[in-house]
Formats: sequence, C-alpha cells, structure tokens
Amino acid sequence: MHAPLLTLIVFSPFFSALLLLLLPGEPAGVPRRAAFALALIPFALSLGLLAGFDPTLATMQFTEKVPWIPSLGVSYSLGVDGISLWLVLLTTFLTPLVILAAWGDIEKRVKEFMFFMLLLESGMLGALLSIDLLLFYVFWELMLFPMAFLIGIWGGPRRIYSAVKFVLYTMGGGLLMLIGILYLVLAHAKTSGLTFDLLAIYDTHLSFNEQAWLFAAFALAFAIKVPMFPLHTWLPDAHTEAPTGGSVILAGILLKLGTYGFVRFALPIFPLAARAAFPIIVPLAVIGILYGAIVAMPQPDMKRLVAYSSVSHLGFVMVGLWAFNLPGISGGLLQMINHGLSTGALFLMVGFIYERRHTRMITEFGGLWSIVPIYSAIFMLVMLSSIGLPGLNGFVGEFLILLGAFHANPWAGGLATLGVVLGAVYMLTMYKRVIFGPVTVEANRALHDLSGREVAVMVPILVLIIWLGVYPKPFLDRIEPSARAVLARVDRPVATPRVATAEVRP
Amino acid sequence: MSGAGMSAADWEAILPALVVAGAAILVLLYEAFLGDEDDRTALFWMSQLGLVAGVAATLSVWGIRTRGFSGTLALDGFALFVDLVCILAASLSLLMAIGYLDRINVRAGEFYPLVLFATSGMMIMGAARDLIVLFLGLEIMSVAAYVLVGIHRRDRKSGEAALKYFLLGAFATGFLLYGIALLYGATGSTRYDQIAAGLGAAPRMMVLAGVAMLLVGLGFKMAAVPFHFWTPDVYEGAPTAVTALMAVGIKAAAFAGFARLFLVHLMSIHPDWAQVVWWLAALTMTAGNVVAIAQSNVKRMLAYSSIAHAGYLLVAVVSGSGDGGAAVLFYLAAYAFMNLGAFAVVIALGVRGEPNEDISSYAGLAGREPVLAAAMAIFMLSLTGVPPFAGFVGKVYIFRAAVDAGYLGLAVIAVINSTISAYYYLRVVIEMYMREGTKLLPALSSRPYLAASIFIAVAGTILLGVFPSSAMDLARRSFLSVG
Repeated sequence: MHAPLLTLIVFSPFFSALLLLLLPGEPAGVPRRAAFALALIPFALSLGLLAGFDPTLATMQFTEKVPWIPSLGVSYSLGVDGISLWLVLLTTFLTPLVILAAWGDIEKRVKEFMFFMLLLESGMLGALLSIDLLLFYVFWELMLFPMAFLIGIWGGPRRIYSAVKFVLYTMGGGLLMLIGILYLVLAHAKTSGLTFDLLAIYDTHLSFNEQAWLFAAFALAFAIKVPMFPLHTWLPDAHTEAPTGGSVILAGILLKLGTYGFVRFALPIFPLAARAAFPIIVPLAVIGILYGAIVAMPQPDMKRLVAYSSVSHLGFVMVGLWAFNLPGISGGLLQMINHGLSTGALFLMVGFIYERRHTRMITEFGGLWSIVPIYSAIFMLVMLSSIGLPGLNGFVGEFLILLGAFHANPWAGGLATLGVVLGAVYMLTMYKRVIFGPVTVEANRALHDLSGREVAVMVPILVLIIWLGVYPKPFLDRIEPSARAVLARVDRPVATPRVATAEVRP
Repeated sequence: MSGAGMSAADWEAILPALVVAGAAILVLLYEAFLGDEDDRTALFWMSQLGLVAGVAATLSVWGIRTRGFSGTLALDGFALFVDLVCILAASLSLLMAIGYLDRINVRAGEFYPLVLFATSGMMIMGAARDLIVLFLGLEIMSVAAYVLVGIHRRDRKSGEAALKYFLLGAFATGFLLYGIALLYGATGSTRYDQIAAGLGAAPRMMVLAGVAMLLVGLGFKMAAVPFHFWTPDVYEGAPTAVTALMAVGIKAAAFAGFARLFLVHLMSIHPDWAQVVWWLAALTMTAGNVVAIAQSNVKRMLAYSSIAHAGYLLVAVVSGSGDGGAAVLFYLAAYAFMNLGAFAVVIALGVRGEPNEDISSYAGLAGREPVLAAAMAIFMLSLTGVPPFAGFVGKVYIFRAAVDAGYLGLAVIAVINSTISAYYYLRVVIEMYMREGTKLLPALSSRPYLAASIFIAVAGTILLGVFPSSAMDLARRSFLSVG
C-alpha cells in the first residue's frame, strides 16, 4: 500500500485553483505569488514520483483503482509508466515556470488566468495518468476548455475566432473517439468482462475491419491534437492569438497528448491497423515535417514561425513512432520531452520580447545582441536546441528517430533528414535577422535585458536542455522498458497476413 | 378491483399524483380568498409544500410494484423516477417564478395551482399503462399548460404563444386520439399489455397506422422534428418560468409515456417503428442544433436546444434496449438540472421592463456577476456534453446504448451534432467571459429564491456528472421494474 501519490499529483492543481478563487484578486501580486507557490506542490510531488519510479519495470506503477461507474465498467484508475513519467514531470515543471513568466505578461484578470492555468494542469496530468479509457476521455476534454479560456480571454485581437476553432477541432475529433471507445469496450465485453480498463482492453480481439475503423476514430482525435498535416490549421491561429503562457503549455504539453495518445492507445490496441496505416501516416508525417519547415521560413511573425516549426517537429515524432522499432519509438518519446522544452522556451523568448515591444514582427528587430546580451545568449542556446545541435537535447531525439526511420523505410528517413536541414535554415535566418546586424529600429535601443525573474524562468529549462543533450541516459533508461512493451504489443504474432509493411526489427 | 371501493393497489398507484393534485385544489381554494393586493408568497410556500408532500408520497410507495385500476395505472420504479423528475421541474420552476412574476406584473394567483395540476398530469403520464389513461394525463397536463403559457395577459407574445400552443396542441391531440382508436380497433383493447398480446393477430396496416398517429401526438409534446414548429414561438412567448417547466417537465412526461409504451409493450414491432424513430431522432438533433446556431435570443436558442435534446433522447429510444430505457431516465434527470438552471439564469438577467434575452446582454457577465456567469458556463458546458457534468454522462449512456444496439451511424450523427451544439452553447460562454459589457443587474444575493434554484441546478449538474453511479443504478433498476 502506498499513499495515492498520483491522485495527489492530478488533483493538487485542481484544489489549488479552487483555493485561488477564495483569495483576493487585487493587488495582482497576491494571485501571482499564490499560484506560483501552489504550482510547486505538484512539481514536488512528481519529483517524489520520479524518486520512487522503478526504471526496470515496463508495467504501470503507483497504480490506483477505485470503481467510478461500476454499472458501465468505468473505474477511476491511474498509473504511470515510462511513457507518461517524463511527460508528467514536464507538465509539473513547465507550469510553475509559465506562471512565473506570466507575472509580467498578464495584467488583467490575473486571478482568473492563474485559475485556468492550474485547472489546465489538472486536466493534462489526469489525461497522462489515466489508464481507464473513459477517465482518459474525461480529462482529455477537461483540458480543452481551460486552454480555450486562456486563448479567448487573454489572447490577441482574433482570440475568440482562434479559441472557437481550437474547441471545435479538438472536440469534433474527440467525440468520434468517444464512439470508438464505446464500441471497443462493448466488443471487449462480448468475450471478456465489461470494463474500460486499458490494460484489459489491450487484449481485445478485433477483426481487421474493426481495427481499421476504430483506429481511424482514435487517430483522427490524436492527429488533430498533434497536429498532423492537413489537420494542423487550427494550430498557427491558436498560437498566434494565445498569450505566451498559453502557447508554452499548448506547444509544450497539449500537443504531446496527441502523440502520447498514439503510443498509449492507437498503436497497442490496434496493431494491425496501425501497421496497415503506415502508407498513410508516414507520408503525412513527412509532409508535415517539410511543409512545416517550408511554411515557417517566410513567416514575418516570430510566433507564427515557431508555431509552424512545431508542426515540423511533431512530424518527426510521428515518423519515429511509426518506425516500429526501439530507437524510433524511444526517440519519439524522448523527442516529445525535448520539443516541450525547446519550443516552450522559444515561445517564452518570443513572449519576453513581445512584452517589451508589443510586436513580434521579425523586421521590427535586428542588432539586439549589443542591446540585450543576456537575452540574445539564452535565445541562441534555445534556438540551437530546437534545430538539434549535438550536445543539446534536440539532437539526441532526432538522431534516434532518424536511426529508427532509416531502418524502417529509408525514404522516410531521408526526407525527414531534409527537414532537419530546413529547420536549421529558418531558425538561423530568424535568429540572424533579429539578433545580429545593425539596429534598424530606434525603439529597440531602449530595450532592457532580461530581469532576474525572467532569467529564473529560463535557467531551469536551459539546465535540462544541456543535461538531456549531454547525458540522456537516465531519461532513456526509464523510457525504454515501456517502449519495448509497446513494441511487443505492436509486434505480437498476428494471424492476418494482410499487413505487408516494412517490418525491420531493431 | 373488488366491489365498488378502491383497492389498496389503486390507492398506492395513484397516491403521488393524487397528493400533488390535492395540493393544487387546496392552493386554488386558498387563492380564491386572497385579495388583489395580498402577498402571493403564501401560495408559493403552499405549493412547494404540496410538492414536498408529493415526494413524500412517492417515497412512501417506493419499492412497491403493483398496478391499480384494473391494470391501467402502474406503480413501479419507472413511474416513481418520472414522478421525481417532474416534481423537481415543478419545484425549480416555482422557485424561479416567484420573483419573476412580480417583475412582469403577473398577479394571477392561479399560476401556482396550475403548475401543480400540470405536474400531476405529467405524473399520470409516467404511470399510465392504458392509452386512455395516457390521454387523460396528457390532457390534465396540457390544459394547465395552455393557460400557463398565456398567463402574461398584457403581453402580446404570451397571448400569441398560448393560442398557437392550444391550436396546434389540440390538433396533435386529435392525432393521438385517432391513433388510440386505430389501435383499439386493431387489438380490441386500450390497455398496453392487452395491445401487446393482440399485436400478433391484429391487421398489420391498422397497427402501424395507429402507432404512427401515436408518434405524431407524442412527438408534438416532445418537440420532435417535424412536429416542433410551435416550439420556438411558444417557448419564447411564454413566461420564462413556464418555458422551463415545459422544456423539462412536459418533455419528460411525454418521453416517459413514449418509452413505457414503445420500449416495453410495442417491442415486438420494434423493427417497424425503430426505422421511423431513427429518422425522427436524426432530423430532430440536426434541425434543432443547426437552427439554434442562428439564434441571437438566448431563450429562443434554448428552445431549439431543447428540440436537439429531444433528438438525443430519441436515440436512446431507437436502441430499443433496457439500457436505452435506463438512459432515457438518466438523461431526463440530468437534462432537468442543467436546462432548468439555464432558464433560471435567463430569468436572473432580466430586469423590470427589460427581459435582456439577447445574447449581447451576456457580454462581460463574468466580470460583474462571477457566480452567475460560472453557473451559466456550467449549464452550457453540460448541455454541450462536456465532462465532468451531468450532460456528459447522460450522453455517454445514450451513445453506449445506441452503439450496443448496433446503431453506430446514429451515434455518429449524434456526436457530430454535439460538436455543432458546442458552437452555440459556447457563444454564451464567450460573451460572458471574453467580451466586455456594461449591463448592470440586480445582485443575485437580493433574489434568494432564484439563487436557490440556480444553486440546486448547479449542484445537480455537478453531482450527476462526478458521481453518476447511484443515479445511474437507480435509473437502471427503475427501468427494469417497468411493466
């Protein structure tokens, strides 16, 4: 028996959010400080989770299970494994930093902002830790609305359009998945018991046709979230309008729920269909990589550029997952963390400069190196991490993914590599135009460098960026057993010989 | 029935409805002695007491399963569940009404007994297992409702609504009666179990025609497409507290009568009527949701939304299973809380002379009345079907029943509709939270009755969503005991 650590992690932000409502909203310092302090609780708890996590196991750990709606077979069931562990930590790690960063960014309705941010954290943690399908769905929807509020209240001029688009896209996909979940559970109930428990559902016997349809229903929901080309159109809008904190969480964690969904649900439950979908998923992922990179290049708005780079980077993750080999899958899982750190940091950097100048247009800047050296130096590190410079975190993940991809399908690997090159092009160009050269706009001369608080936000992220780049072993050690377990499910002997995609074992 | 007197079973079966109707008569008598200027609060409390007595009566016969009046009136879990939902609807409507009637200058004391009479009619519909008794309940309910819709006599919209509802309602009742006559002609009885027994030997065309006529009559009260044309005008024109009662109570009663007849006694011809109801469900959901998008008056939007929800309920009926029946009951309870709450908020926004029903009146509400805005946001999200609120669990239950019965296509249509509905429900949330507005309202704390109704609705919406298990079990057991 152990303390219900996962429940504490999931619900501490929720109760913190409620507590926040009771506090006075003025002066703004009260909710700011309170929210930051409260957001450290789940982080501390998740460090305890990391300490107690057994890296040798591939199974669910710290499991909790209480019947929730017994007559339908739904239970409140939580667990953590190597797939979710780092994402949970990323969530609890980024949230307090985002709250700290928002001290300068968010001026109006501060208390509500912090409320929604904490609510969102609960939703994300719940979705990552649920191992009951309906519970997962509940949290999946729960994280949607706080984010919509963050975009819709504190966003830019077209914030309402973006918020609605975000909700409708995600909800539409999610509801079809709900039908898929119900069908799946009822199919499972025909042979075995009535349950929404994921671990039991893994062994459901489904015909190839059923798998294909159900996979499509799940994949649609996840692909919208990732987002995969051509379902990505909500993302640049959402990012452009979202406040910095919203963008960081959106790019850092919410999008990962899409790729997480593929690894946790779509691949292991429907292995035949997942393999058969190779000729659809992988080309789309590769197109996403190239398209994201090519469209990022001419973007005049830094934030939109970073948003498109996300489309590109998550294409890599998808290619890694669909390699169906160990380097690919564990690289994909690691890259989810890397992307969360790098892109989150990029959005923070863009946000810092936006707070000062109220513009994000690349042409408005130039020559910042001499004016704000600390900012420029940190920006450089973050930017290099994003393009995958060896020695920084992005490299490790991309390398593993490409390794896996070349094994699985050299074409996919080759084209994806092209995406790495393009990534370097648009990032370096943007950096050069913003940071180097002569100072073209006089207003920039008055810029002040990062404050102590802002440096405090960035330093923990930079530490992880370097750590993951230099010594990723502790991270990979905990990912690999679970990645193997996923692989074993995808590879389990199948009677249907209809699947004839590249099956290169690592 | 033995001899001339009523048996114990008769008394037990009629008791809940009888208590409410008795209370109505008492309130009516008391009202007759009130002067024009006297306070109406006593009537309100008497009526609430009558409803509480109705709950007590319901609980006193809880668990008994019997039939009264020669098997024409059922006492079972199903009937009692419906009783509770209808009493809840009436009680919350009264809570909303007391301040609201003052505001719109309706002094008519007969409002209260009429609500009680309507409620007793609904309760009879839930218990009826004979077409004539069903008709009786429907008429007790409807006649009271016709008057209630037009009770705001100085308001032309209210008068128009009453006339429209009455004329079309009478027309629909004609269909119902025609259906009853055809079924009687075909099977030789109006009692459900005897009809069911006679179906095999009855002329098929006559049975189908009779069933179709019944569908029209009940579809009218349920506000199912294409029998819904009265709904938006009547819902908009009626005093809002009455609209709330109609959208929840009358719908619940109509569905209860429908479910008992179709899901239990007409199951042997399920393949025949399921096809038709399939289309009704698909059309009702789609038309309700699509047209709701275009509305800028929140009350009218809620009218279309109530049409859409009739569609979801029909999905559960199409499935033709026990799960479907239980899902109908659970959804009715969930729907009662969230929809009554939404109407209560509509009332809360109005001030004397200005109903403030336009969506732009909601702009910036979160800044001025955070509690009210949060409550409305919860109702809107729950109506959309977002967890962890009652509407979500209700929808999951319905979709599950549909998928289980093999109606995957209908379930997919239903979720597409849910997504469409997100668009207009969210618009209210967007106005409240994401736009600025200046309209000032009287503080909610100065209106304790209304605040109480909103509080109860919020509590129900959250509880049924977070801890749905016991209510769901109750709905299951209730439907299992149906006969």
